[in-house]
Amino acid sequence: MADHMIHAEIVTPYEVFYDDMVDMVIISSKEGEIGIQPGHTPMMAALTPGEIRLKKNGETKIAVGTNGYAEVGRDLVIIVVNAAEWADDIDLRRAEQALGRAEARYYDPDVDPQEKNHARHGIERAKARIKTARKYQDRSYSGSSF
Amino acid sequence: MEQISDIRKRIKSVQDIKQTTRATQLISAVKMRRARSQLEKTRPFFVICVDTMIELYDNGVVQDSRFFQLRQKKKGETWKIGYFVLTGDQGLAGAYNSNVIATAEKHIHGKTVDNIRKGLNTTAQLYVAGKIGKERLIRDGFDVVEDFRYPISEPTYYRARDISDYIYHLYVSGELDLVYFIYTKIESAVSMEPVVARVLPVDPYSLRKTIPEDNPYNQYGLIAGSDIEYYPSADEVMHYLINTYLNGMVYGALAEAYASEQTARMTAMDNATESANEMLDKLRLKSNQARQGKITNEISEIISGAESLSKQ
Repeated sequence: MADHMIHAEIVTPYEVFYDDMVDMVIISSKEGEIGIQPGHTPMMAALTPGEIRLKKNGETKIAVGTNGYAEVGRDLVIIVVNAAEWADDIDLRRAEQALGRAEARYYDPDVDPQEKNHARHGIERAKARIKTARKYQDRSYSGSSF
Repeated sequence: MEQISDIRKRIKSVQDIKQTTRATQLISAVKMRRARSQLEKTRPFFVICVDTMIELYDNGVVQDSRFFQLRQKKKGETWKIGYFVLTGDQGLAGAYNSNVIATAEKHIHGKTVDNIRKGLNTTAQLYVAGKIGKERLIRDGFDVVEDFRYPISEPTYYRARDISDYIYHLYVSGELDLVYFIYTKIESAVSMEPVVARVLPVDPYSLRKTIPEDNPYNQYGLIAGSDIEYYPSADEVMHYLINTYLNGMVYGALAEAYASEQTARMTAMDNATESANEMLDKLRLKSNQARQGKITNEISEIISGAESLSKQ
C-alpha cells in the first residue's frame, strides 16, 4: 500500500545504499533516536554514528550509519551519510581493530588537532559498529568461529 | 634511396613505440571504466548535498552566513584567494594537463586585473595536486604551496575529507577569503572541459548550474514554504551540512578529474597507436620498394656483366 508507506533513501559517497518504500524509518540523531512514519512534518536532522532501522511488512532491516544529515518530507526520507553498512555485514574483529587504532591515535600526544579530531570520529564510528554488531549478530551467528 | 637496414631500424623503433602506446591505452581503458563507475555512484550524493544547500538558502534559514556571503573589502585591502588545481601525475594524456593549467593561469590573471581596477590587491595561493601541474606552475612563477602534496590517482572519500578539513580551516581562520577548485569535468562520453568552481563562500546560484536539471533527486520545493523542524538546532544541522557539502564537493571534483585524466589518456594513446600503424604501413611499403630496387639493380648488373663477357 504505497499510500501508507514512506520512500526511504540512504545515500553515501560510494553508492545509493538503499532506495525503497518502507513503513517506518528510525534514525539516530544527536538527541536520540527519531522514528519517522508517512506524513511526518518536514524536518532536518543532524545524524551521529548509530543505527538506522528500516521497517517494512513486519520485518526490520538494520544498518549502521556515520555522521551526516537526514531530510524529511511528507513521504520521503533522504539520509545522507559518509558511510553505511548492514548490521549483518559488519566484521566485528575488524571493527575492534579499527577502534584500537583510532584510540591509539587519539591518545598519542604527538598528533596534531586535526588528526585528533579524525581519531575521535573514528572512535565514535567504530563504537557504533561494534555495538550494533554485538546486538544483532549474536542472535543469528551464535556459533560463529570467533 | 634509403638503405634497407635504415628503414628496418625505423620499423623496429615504431613497433616498440606502438607497443607502449597500446599497453598504456589498455591500462587507461580499465582505469577509466572504474573511475567512471565510481563517478556515477557518487553523483547522487553530491547532487542531494547541493540540492539541500540551495533549498535551505532559499528558505532563508541560513543563519550562519559566513559560508554564504562574500567578505567585504575596502580599497587597498587584499583578497586572499586559494586555488585547488587538479592535474595529473603523468603526461601522455594529450592536452589534459595543459588545458587545466591554462585555465588556472587565465583565471588568476583575470581576477588580479579585475581587483586592480577596483583598487584592491590580490594574492593567489595555489594548492596543486599532480606532479605535472605543480612543476609547470612553479616554473611559471606562481605561489604554489609546497606542503600540499596529494596523490591524484584512485580518489577515496577518506582522502577527500582531509582536503575538505584543510579548506574549512583555511577559510574559517581567514587565511583565505575565496576558495576555487579548478579541474576537468566530463561532459559526455568523449568530451571534457576544464571548469572553475567556487567552493567557498557557497554560491547557490552557480551551484544550481552544476547539477543537471532533470535529476531524479530534484526534490526542490518539497519542503519549501513549510515550517521545518531542526534536530537538535538549525545551526547544528547547518554545521553537518557544510561539512558534508565540502566533502561531497571535493570528492566529486577528485572523481571527475581522475575519470577525465584516464579518458584523455586513453583517447591520446588510441590516436598514437593509430598513427604508429599508419607509419608502419608507409615504412613497410618503402622497405619493400627498396628491397625490390636492390634486386632489380643486382639483376641488371649481372646481365650487363654477362653481356660484356659474351662479347669478348
